[in-house]
Amino acid sequence: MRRINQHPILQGLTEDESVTIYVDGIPMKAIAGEPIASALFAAGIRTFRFTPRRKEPRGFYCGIGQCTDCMMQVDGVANVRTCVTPVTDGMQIRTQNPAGGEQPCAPPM
Amino acid sequence: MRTTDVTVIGAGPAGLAAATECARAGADVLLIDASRQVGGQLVRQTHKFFGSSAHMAGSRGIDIARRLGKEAKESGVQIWIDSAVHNLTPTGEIHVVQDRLACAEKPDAVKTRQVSARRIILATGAREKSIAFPGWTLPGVMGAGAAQTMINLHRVLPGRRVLMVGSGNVGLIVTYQLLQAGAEVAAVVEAACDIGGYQVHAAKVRRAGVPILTSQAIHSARGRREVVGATAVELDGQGNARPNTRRSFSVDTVCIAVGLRPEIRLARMAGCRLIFCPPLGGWTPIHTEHMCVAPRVYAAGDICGVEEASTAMEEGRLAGMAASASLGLVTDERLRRRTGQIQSRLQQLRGATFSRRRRRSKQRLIRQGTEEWATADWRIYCSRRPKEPAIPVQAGKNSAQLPAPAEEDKSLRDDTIICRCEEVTAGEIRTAISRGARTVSAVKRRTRAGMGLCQGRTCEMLVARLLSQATRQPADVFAVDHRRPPVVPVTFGALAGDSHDSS
Repeated sequence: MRRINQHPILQGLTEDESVTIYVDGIPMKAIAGEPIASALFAAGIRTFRFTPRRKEPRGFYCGIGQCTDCMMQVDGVANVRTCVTPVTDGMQIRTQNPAGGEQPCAPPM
Repeated sequence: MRTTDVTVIGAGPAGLAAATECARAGADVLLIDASRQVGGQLVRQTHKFFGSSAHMAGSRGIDIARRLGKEAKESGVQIWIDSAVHNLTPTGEIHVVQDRLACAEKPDAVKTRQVSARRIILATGAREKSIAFPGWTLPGVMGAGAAQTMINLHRVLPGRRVLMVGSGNVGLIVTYQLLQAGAEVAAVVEAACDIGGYQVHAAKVRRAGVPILTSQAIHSARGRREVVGATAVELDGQGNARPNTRRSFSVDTVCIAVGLRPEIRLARMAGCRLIFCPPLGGWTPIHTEHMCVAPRVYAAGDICGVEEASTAMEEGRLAGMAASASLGLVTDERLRRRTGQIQSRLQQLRGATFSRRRRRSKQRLIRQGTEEWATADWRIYCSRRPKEPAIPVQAGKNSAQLPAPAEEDKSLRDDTIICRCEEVTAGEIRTAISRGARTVSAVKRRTRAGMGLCQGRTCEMLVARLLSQATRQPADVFAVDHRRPPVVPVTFGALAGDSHDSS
């Protein structure tokens, strides 16, 4: 996936203040104030967690903090809804896998 | 505790218009919204709106949001953003959790606050409906609204190649906006035999080379870690899949646009009477022509039946006017005159853009609300546990109009997930029903469906449909939103008053 720089209606993306986030330990650039989910999508990551029962991958579904599918572990806190939680500099984001193992995110597509 | 004349919940077009109206009448108004900016869904609408100049036709949603927000601020409305209402008490107190976005770094940023309001205006809008199919939990399957938020608000493409499910206005508009943002759309599939949205949107999509396939339903999405493809299937006149008509699409994203339903959780807590109106999106509070839904409570916009931003603004004005009048801030004469003007504009809007079914449903809603108001049998706001709504529609009448298109339901595989949070499958729910579960709550108690973090927001209607099929009763008999607080996730710390604001 990628950021939308050229758009026929919306203005081009301005050089927003960028922050560094760590996704499963890997540093990445994100735009200050954007939700974690969009920063991950921009980096090509769409698998955010694995479910407790069937160990199935989940990601971004409703986009407005209602479905709680996009939960990840953020700064040590589990079950954070990434679609409504803004990134902050130095934020530690982890794929949520309640089985205990730390599976890495899917490789960028 | 903050005391207000009027508290408006939801800062979309209806809420902003209502708050402005009250503030102009001289009320002390507080407007509360859960998101980070005002404007509701307008903030991601990059297309131009239809209608008359009175409704800012020709303007883009994003610009209308800015204008309405400015008007509200200038008229003296106090606005709390990042503030989610998690409870409405029987005495009219509103419990708010602020900055629920805070993480471990700044736990002190989570604050709960209480507001007492002489009048409440509910403008909570609508939410997207879901359909279940094999693979719908895979990363890459998302609501069309979610995709729209991603492209227009956050400016990130949700996928490279998309299959759009549903050809209502949301499906068509988001398809076009995905193209504008640089994605490919393989096709729009529509289970009904006709396109659901306006022809002008459909024509735009077709001109851009995207086929709209009617009488076709999504069959499944496939992939191991993410979506790598999807399959659609042709439907016969009865909504059954035709054999050997599967068609495979190589896509990395599936967007679901199968309609919106009124967001009625707070309305239920406020004791509003509900009616099941499929043309308006499902369960909707009945209301008077002044948008009154319960004593001291008004509602406006999509919560009162899914329509458009223009009608939402007008309903907001009506509610604001009526709430102000009930506080003695507006003379009866002015209320009558202004209500008349707004009603005639609403009629024009509904005449121009509405199917007859939707317009009639809206009229029925208002007629019933007015009648019930007159009989004064509307005391429910005082009781903690309002009775299950007496279902006013004749049982059986709506059975042909289930909440979502009857796609593939009959053949929905037993291993398909229904409750995403608790990972409960259709098979487990069918077993629970065969063992005697006859309500959504009974299914929940037996299977945990609807007990997860989202509290059944996504699955309750799907469970209701399974119940409906298994028991051969209309779905509306089963589908009732529950109404216990908190209606949004709140930490125990915040509830326990960790950082409670006692001012």
